[in-house]
Amino acid sequence: MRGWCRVVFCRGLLYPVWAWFALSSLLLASSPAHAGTATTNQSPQQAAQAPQPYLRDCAWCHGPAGEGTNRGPTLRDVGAASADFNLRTGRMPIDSADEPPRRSEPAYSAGEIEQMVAFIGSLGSGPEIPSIDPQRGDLGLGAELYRDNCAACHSVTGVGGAVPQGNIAPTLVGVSSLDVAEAMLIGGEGTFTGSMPVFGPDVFDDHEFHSVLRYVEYLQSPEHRGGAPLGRTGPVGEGMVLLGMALPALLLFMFWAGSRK
Amino acid sequence: MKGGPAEERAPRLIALSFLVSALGSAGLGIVYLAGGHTQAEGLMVGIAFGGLAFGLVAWSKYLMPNGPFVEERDSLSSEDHEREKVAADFARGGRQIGRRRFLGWSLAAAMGALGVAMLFPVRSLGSRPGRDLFETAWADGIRLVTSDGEPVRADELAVGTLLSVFPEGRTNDADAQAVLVRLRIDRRTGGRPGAQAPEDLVAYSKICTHAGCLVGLYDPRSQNLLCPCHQGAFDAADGARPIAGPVTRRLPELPLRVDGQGFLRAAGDFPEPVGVGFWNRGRS
Amino acid sequence: MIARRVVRWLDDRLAAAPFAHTTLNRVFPDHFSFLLGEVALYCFIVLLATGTFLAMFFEPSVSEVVYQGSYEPLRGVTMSRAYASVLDISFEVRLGLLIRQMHHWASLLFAGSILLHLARIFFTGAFRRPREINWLVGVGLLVLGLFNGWAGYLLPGDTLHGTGLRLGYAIALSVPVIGPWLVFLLFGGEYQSPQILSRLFVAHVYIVPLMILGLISVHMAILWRQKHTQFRGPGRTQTNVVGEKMWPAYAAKAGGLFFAVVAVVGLLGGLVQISPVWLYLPDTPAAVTSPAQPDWYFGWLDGALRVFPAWEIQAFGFEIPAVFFPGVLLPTLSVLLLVMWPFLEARFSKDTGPHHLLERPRDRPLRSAIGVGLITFYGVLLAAAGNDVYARTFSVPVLQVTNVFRVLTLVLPVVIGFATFRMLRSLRDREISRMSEGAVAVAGGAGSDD
Repeated sequence: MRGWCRVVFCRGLLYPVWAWFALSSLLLASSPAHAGTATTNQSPQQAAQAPQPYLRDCAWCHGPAGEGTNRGPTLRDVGAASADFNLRTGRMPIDSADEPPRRSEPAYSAGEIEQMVAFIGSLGSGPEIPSIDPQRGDLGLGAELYRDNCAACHSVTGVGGAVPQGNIAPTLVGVSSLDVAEAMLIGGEGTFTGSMPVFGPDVFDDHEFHSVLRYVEYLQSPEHRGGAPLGRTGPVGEGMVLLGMALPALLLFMFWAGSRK
Repeated sequence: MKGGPAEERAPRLIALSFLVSALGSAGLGIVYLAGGHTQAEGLMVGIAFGGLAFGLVAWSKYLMPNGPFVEERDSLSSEDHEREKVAADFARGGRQIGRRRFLGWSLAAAMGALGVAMLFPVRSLGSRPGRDLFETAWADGIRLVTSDGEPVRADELAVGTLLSVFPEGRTNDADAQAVLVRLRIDRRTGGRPGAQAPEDLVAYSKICTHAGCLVGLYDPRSQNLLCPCHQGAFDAADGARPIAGPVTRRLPELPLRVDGQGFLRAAGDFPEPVGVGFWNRGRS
Repeated sequence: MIARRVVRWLDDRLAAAPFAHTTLNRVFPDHFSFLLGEVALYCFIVLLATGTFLAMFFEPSVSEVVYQGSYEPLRGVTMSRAYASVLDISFEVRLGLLIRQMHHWASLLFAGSILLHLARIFFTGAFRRPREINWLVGVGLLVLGLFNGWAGYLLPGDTLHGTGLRLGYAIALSVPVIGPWLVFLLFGGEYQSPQILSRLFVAHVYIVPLMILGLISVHMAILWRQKHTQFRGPGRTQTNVVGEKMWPAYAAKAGGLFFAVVAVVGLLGGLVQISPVWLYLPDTPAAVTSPAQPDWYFGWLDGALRVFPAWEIQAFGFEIPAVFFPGVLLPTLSVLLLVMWPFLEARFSKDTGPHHLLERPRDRPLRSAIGVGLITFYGVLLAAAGNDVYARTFSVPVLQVTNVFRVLTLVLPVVIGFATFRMLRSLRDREISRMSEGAVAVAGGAGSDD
């Protein structure tokens, strides 16, 4: 059923057709109570009108008012930060709830993203998009905090790692400071794979938070004055260079120097 | 290969090789005086030594007499009568000891005693294991603090967060370190000792019971603690029971309680020895 | 002219002339595979030279200091003096980083050349009488070399290599009966004992290099006494040595090889980064990093720790922890197998005569197959040490990768060993039949078709 569902409902060519049917049936099926629920569950902000891209692409799994369906979780209280993170890094939309979201090109323009973020942010009381300035942080403190909190999963050199039970802590190289900040605030539930703890205000104060950001920014292009960094694979890469290049080179030299009889 | 074009080309190439080597050495000096640069230095070392390497081997191979030369190999085994002589030499001296049995025995006794005495410097190398492997610095009433010494409040940890904690005043303590986790209460399955701490807060020893690496990864969705060294996994919602990898024993759980001001304190030491297994671990 | 005067001066004092005459004319077979042992020796010389330089700057102290050097990201960070001194070597001392990296690369090459040398000795049967003693000395050199590599790479005290110390502690502790005592005497106490660093430093810089130097001297002295082995060939017999003379051809070639080894180590040391401890950050009792692998020559041990199942033996309150089997038993059995091999083979092949002529791998298909099977076994374990790196790179769950390696560890050595046996035996049989046909032809019988 899943595969069929995917092919029939989520493939690009059929999008507009099915979206039209979905929208019409939802509009027809919506009852006053339903709409009422959608409005009375508002926390401080007034619920904004769902923008068109949201209704077209997201509502099918997350509900037209972000209330969630059996295909996708509710977006209430995930916060603008989560929406911004997932949309800007291309993790959302995904074709199927079975696959973990992966970083890719964003599917929307900046303007569309802003609209959807405003909408999703208005649905509840999750983390806002942080305003950050990594230079405010202290590099040395950031190094220590990174080592003690992030290195276990993302590797001390920032290239990510395999987290057991099938997940991957992604590389931090090529990731903007805003992405890092948002991921820290929303944790695993926001990035959907669920493996990342939340590193919010109860873990880092503002100075510590920015220090971590500053160190991750440093890891984008760290000191490699020793030579070729071998993809920061550590002893694995070094072993491959030894066995694949250094020993063969010496063997060739020996082959030339000695006799073959 | 002697004679012919090789013999004429070879000396020139060898000399060129040595010249290149000299240039490399000079280059190394220049790089050094200019302040140094690791890649350039390495390259110069490679050129300096490489030039010599090629030149010398080429000289040996193409210009020096390669033989083949033949050398005779003597049999290693000596004549029987020579071996007999050695045996007789030993026997002659040995008869000395044989005749003075008592002296021989007392010598043996003295050497034996000396041998035992020589072991005592080894004993000075360390303390006796004693209770050290069975106990940590935790005890009832000691506050939990993070690595910068801040005490931990029971209500400040969000669900899904992992915090590394230490006994107050001992943030460098290698075997007392623990991880504090706030679980999703609906996912808790195992029972736990002590009823004074919040149901959803648990603290486990951070030292993996497999090979001693630190269990610093937490997956909030599965509520598993994970060890990066050999991919061992523990169920934090079920007493840190091992569920994957080469781990055989759960992480010891630190009993917790909340004090009057809302800070977390230990309610005693770990109920079992932390860290990797050892011979008499079960006999505390 | 000068040579004559030098010879006379030395001879007047040391009776050196006959010895020098013998030495200069000594014949060395010069098959290229015989150069592997030399490469190992030259690596050790590089290690000694670079290591001496490093020891002038390294501070084996765990006392803490606040870093104020030129590597900005760690300024203001508290770290051990040891770690700070390695940062200084890398960033303040000219040529320091090059020499540090050369030292580390040379250690990887040292292990590799020893293992290749061991393989050559094994597959050509050079360990047979009268060379069993030298084989044992060689095994000793291998073990000491590996140990010193481990002791050396954890001296800086970074998070990646700190793991190596934890594992060493856990493995030592897991030894039945004496484990806790062994650990408390060696480490000077429980895991965080401050003495372990200076003890490892003394072992790495003084005790083990002295032992290695001593064993190398024995190794070379025995080689000198027994003369080198050689492959079969025209003019070569059990009672001669055919090759090049020491002076000048062989000396030039050996010298050239030495320079080549230094050149390779130098190029690696300058062009390919190794062990960037400033990125690995100073180790603290609570620091974790993943992935964490040891240097390649211990990959087989790390891989064994990863793929070995969670088996522990417990009885009457005593236990043999899971780490014991891959961490203590496997290495011990491996070394025992190496040590016993010449004697086992002599017993099973009923061949106790002296051998100075080498065999080719196909001449002993069973021995070669076992050797290839063992290499495959350790090779698979080595590959298994990267299971989390593969999982991350190919986005596959790490448990699946581990299970694949478990199967491979058990199956691949047998399959490849068996295939090797069949292949070598058929090669040998074909050769024998060709030779006997040729012999018949020479003797005037029917010609062969090839």
